[in-house]
Amino acid sequence: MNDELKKDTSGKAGDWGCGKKRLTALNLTAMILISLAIIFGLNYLASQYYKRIDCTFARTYSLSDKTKTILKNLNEPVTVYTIFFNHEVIPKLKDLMEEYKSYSSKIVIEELSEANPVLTQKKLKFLSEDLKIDISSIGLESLRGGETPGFMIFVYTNRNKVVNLKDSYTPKYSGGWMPQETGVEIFRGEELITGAILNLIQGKQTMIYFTEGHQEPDINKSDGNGIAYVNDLLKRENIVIQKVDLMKTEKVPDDCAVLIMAGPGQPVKPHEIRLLNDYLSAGRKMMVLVDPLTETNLENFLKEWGVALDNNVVVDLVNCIQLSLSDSQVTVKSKDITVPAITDYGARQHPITKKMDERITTYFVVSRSMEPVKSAGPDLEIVEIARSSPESWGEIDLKSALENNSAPVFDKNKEKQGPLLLGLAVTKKIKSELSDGQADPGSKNETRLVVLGDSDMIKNIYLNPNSQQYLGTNDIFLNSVRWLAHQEQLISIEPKKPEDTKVDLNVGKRALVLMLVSLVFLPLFGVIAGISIWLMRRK
Amino acid sequence: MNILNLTKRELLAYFLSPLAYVVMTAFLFFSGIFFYSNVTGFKDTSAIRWQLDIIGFISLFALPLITMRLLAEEKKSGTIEMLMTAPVTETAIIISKFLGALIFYLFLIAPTIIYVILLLIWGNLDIGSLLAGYLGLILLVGVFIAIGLFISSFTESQLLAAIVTWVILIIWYIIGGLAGELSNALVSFLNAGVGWLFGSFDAWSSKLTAFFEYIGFFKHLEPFSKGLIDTRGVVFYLSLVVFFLFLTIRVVESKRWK
Repeated sequence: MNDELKKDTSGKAGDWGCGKKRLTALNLTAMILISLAIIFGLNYLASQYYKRIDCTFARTYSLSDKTKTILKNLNEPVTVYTIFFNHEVIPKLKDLMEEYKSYSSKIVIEELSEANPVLTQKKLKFLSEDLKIDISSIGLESLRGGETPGFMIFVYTNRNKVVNLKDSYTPKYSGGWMPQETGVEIFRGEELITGAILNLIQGKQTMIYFTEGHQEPDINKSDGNGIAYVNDLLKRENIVIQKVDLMKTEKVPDDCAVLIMAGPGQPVKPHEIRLLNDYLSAGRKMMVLVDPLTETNLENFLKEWGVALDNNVVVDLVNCIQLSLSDSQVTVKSKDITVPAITDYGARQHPITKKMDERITTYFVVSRSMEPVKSAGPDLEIVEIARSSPESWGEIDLKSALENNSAPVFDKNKEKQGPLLLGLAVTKKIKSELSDGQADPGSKNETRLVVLGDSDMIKNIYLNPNSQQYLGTNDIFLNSVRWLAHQEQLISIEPKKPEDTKVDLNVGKRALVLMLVSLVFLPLFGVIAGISIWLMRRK
Repeated sequence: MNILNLTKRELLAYFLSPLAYVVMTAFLFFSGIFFYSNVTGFKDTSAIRWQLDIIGFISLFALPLITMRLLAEEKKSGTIEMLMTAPVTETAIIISKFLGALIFYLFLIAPTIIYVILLLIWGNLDIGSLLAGYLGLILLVGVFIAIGLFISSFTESQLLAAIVTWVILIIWYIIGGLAGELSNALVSFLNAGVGWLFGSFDAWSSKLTAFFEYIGFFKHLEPFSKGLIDTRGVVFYLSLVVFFLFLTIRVVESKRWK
């Protein structure tokens, strides 16, 4: 019995030991599984609710206050479908989209990766059929990397907007007669993306009318003399463009947010002048681009609104466009003195130019100067938006200089010395009955007028992303339209220009120092430290 | 004996080990080659950003040589028994070993500060961005050390510990680097295998890619090297460190039970 008891007891003890081991193993497995689940859960939560702290000095990845305000006020989600090709600007755009996403949970990003064409085709079908996006009209199917960095399609409630990422940056160009794009000069992603979101949430489209009937450049023409690119540019801002012949109407259309008279080549008729005066007097907005050497009849009309046009052509022997003509053997550098390079934006006092600094150059192509008319009225506020350099002057007889094939010479008795004004912005507060709520809600009770001394600058040949004249002209024209249309919030988003981080290794013996430090001294430091310790231990 | 004393003991062991100086020399030599070619190639202070990525990559190969001895050596020499009988917890032992290796790594990369000084003198260097980059690197290396320590707890052979750690780190690296290819391969495999039953798995492709990218080591280093402190990366790296340290403590504890 004792033996039996012993056997039984030992048997129980064995079972207990084995059970304890099993229990320990089970316990360990459970702990590992639980900790794995916690880690997955924690990382899932972290991936959904995250923050990114921008440590760069230039705040390269931080969103502007304007963008943050717009994102905070989003009521519905904005889904952004992205199509990215291989381009230098894409990583910047991806970073920026991450920033939008991390700031607002209302931003949803769906990447239509080109790495998986089956999915892309499927999504494209979804975009065209479900979202009713006219893919063929923007060439989304045919365009591939090289022509554009890609597209973003913004969808908000039942509205959508397609954005070509070509507009997300200003390219850096190589020199030469046929400049090649070599990189990103200025990154404008935030301006583009916030603009697209703003356009979508605003819903209502802005109407802009271009006058016709005075040989103005055609807004639909794609050749060098047309201004179809302006048309494209404004369409992307959610602006609808119309033409108006003032001779065939009794008033400027009521839905006109901004009236643009771009480069009239013939005199404007008195009837039209009357309509323009009535229009501006009602607290509406207008932009006039007026060339020299052209009879436009606009002088008196503009003088009443505070802008006196000069009869000259602004020339600048020093600060003007540099042209580099080259073939495989020779490079000829030349300059066109009738295309002054403007980097002075009137101390950036005006919303149009407050984000434009001396790094941005605007080329006025054969332009005339102007002066503010102080006597026009105390209620007129006139601000300079573009100024030529002190080396420039207003040439009043360019024609004879060209005929004699000689360079024009400054005549201090007859001609104005620079700096000369090439652009003015006028504001006039409207009082009386317009403030009682009866006025056009878009007028905001003030007249706004922008006058630029040149219209050629917005022609396709100059204002296109492949032209070196693009950047400044794009800024000054688009910002003027935004200011006139009361869309100043888009101007306040500053484009990001990369900091200069170049290292010149040709200075002194930097290359040698670099080689010695990185390839010799540092590895040698490890060797010496090791030998020292070995010697110390031996002692 | 508290964590501080144990950490000092670990550090002393490192500094007296000749292998540590071999690793340091090789590390500084390879990182020097890349720094030289980056700066002469880019001619830009942003070269330091790529340099931090490269240091992270070199660390993937160098760290197993540092972590392999952490527990394997103690086991082989029998000192682990002494430690286990000492009035210290397993947690204190493991944390001090982890800290010892991490602090030694900081000594290892400390000479690379001279790269920063050179670029600071020669060009316009963004220090804020650089500090974020170093933070990311330290977090990444923390994961490498935690994994190396975990592997080292299984064996007495230092070489085996190093090889297994390399294999794990490299496979993990490949998972993140080839996320797209892996997800496509997996989707194709699923489509061919059980596609007839569950339908097409194509829609999973982008989600799987995002998942593989997310669990990869280096995806989370990108924001740091650009100058962004991303909470996702911080949580990812720290959670992995805690997880592997926890596992190591359990492994060491289980030895006590035996």
